[in-house]
Amino acid sequence: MFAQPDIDRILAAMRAHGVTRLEIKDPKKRLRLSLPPATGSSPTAPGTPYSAAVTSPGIGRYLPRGGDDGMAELEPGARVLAGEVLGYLCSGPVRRVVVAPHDGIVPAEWPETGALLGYGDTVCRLETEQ
Amino acid sequence: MIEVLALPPVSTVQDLGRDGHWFQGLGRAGAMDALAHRAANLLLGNDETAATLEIPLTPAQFRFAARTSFALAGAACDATLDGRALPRIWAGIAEAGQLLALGGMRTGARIYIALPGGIDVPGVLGSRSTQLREGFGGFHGRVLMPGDLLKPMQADAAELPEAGLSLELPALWQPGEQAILLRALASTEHDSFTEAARAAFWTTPYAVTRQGNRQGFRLEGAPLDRNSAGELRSHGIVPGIVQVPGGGQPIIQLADSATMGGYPKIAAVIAPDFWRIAQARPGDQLRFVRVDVVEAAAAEVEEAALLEQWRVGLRAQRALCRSWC
Amino acid sequence: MGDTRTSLIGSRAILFEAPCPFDLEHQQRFWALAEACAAWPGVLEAVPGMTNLTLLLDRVPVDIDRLARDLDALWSSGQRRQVDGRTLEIDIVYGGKGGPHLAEVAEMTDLSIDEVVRRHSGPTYTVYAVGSHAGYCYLGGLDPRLETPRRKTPLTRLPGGSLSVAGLQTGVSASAGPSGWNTIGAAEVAFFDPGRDPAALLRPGDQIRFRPVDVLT
Repeated sequence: MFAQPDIDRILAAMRAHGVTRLEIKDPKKRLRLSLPPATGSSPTAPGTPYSAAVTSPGIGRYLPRGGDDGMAELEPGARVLAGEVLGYLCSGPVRRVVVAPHDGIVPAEWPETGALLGYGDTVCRLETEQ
Repeated sequence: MIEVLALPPVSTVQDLGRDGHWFQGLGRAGAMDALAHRAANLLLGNDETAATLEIPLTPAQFRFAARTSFALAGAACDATLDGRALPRIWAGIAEAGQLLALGGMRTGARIYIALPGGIDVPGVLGSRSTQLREGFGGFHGRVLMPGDLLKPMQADAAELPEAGLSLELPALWQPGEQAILLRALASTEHDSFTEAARAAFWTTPYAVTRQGNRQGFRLEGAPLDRNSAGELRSHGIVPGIVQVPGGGQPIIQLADSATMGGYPKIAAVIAPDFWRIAQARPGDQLRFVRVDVVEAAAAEVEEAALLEQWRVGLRAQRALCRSWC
Repeated sequence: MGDTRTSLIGSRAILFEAPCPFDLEHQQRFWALAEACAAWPGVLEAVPGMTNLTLLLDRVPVDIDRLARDLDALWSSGQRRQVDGRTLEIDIVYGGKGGPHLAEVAEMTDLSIDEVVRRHSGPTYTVYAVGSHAGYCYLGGLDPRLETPRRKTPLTRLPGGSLSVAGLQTGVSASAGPSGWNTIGAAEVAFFDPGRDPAALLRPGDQIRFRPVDVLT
């Protein structure tokens, strides 16, 4: 049997990797999980801006970039490139880096500094032109 | 493996220093900012005594010859990996051929680069630190030059989240302070300085001058005069000692300190604050804050607790990474 | 307690001094003290200076008063340690490029240059202490007529093998580095070699004789 914490962790990993369906089968147990498609990635007309959620890669307290990290603060409306540092998820002194999964435009809306985020929670929505 | 493409000729391989040879006149050497050195090592899961590269002057450029994890810690210098900006404290993976570029330092004065397992240089007299004056240890006993190749002790990359890890280091400046505060103990000749000199020493700032290196910094501020004159007999000195030569302007001895000296000693900066001196730039102001032995001991306990917090936090992060990354 | 003094020179380092003449007899008492203190718990190294002693400790000495009493008591015992050391002869070129302050020392001491050289190369010196930089020997035995003050502003780089004087002390630098002393000559000796065991050529109690091979002006 799968315990609830296991299922929660699997769900979080699915969210983090954009997986919407998962089936595990063996002679003793069977588990089928399905999630709604990630919001914001619904098809839109070419050329219209749409935004995609940047999800949290772990559990931690949100810290924006540009504090004591020697990096410039992100200006809403500015361009970020895939792989660019957006902020951090802090647990104690350890900071897990959150990067832009794709090129995009810096949004105006961010979590409060110190806000607790879980796996797969939305850190921000990165506007993309496609 | 990492190749030095460009680097001013002042960078050395250092670890936590060479103990046990004081009696032969051999100083400790070792990382000037041991805290940043430890942070870089811990981020990679290295032993804290593993050798890192200490960079006191930029710009610098490195090319990764093979895929490897690495860590960077210390001064803010607009570091980029193949053009992508990195936080000033960062551990992550570099792919073969990627370029690490360090720009001008904006705050802080030293940067440490760690490789998996430490930088592979031979241990000499119990340490991998470069003994610059004597010309041994570290990388062939000398500063790094373009064309040099630094090898990691371990071929495998450390377990790290794809986007990398960072760590919170203590702030160099305390909030609202114009000067970097250095806690110090009164030393041997403290009471032989004039009352005005003692008052000035403990209350007014002293600026870091351009005359500074791994051996020590010359400071500039209110002149420090003594009531008594006369030469002292040569005696032991250690990193952190603040000496006052005849000119009245203090000198702080640092990681490459001599083991004996002869100038009057007004104070001794406590070891947990050495890293602050190491990260002070020419022009930065330092102010000495008097503490006693009990406070000095408490500061060591506090530092040990901070390091333990890093170790525990990073161990937990690695465990998480093993199951989910 | 006598009028000895124990003071802090670092978080984990103390200096012990006793008011005493600067001579071999009293230096031997510091050698004895160093040997005894090296065995104390918490003492990492006990290193003699010039009629003083430095202890490197494994923790901050919150009990410095007790350490001061113990050091004072041990000093008061008056014990001496005699060392049957080796004697090293060193060829010296006095003056010239390698001894830029020779004329200044002659002037400060009101002696002729030849007289400075004669008086400096006359005695057999004893290594009182090893320190400053690796392998450097502080020597006792300098003619008091050669006493000079340290320089107000230290030289930032003096080559290895430089023979210098300051106060009642003299010595030959083992490697290039800064110096606040008056440099009167030059020699070629490997005082420290990390591949050698022990790495330092001389230890406290060994002796040095200087042989003038040339005097340059």
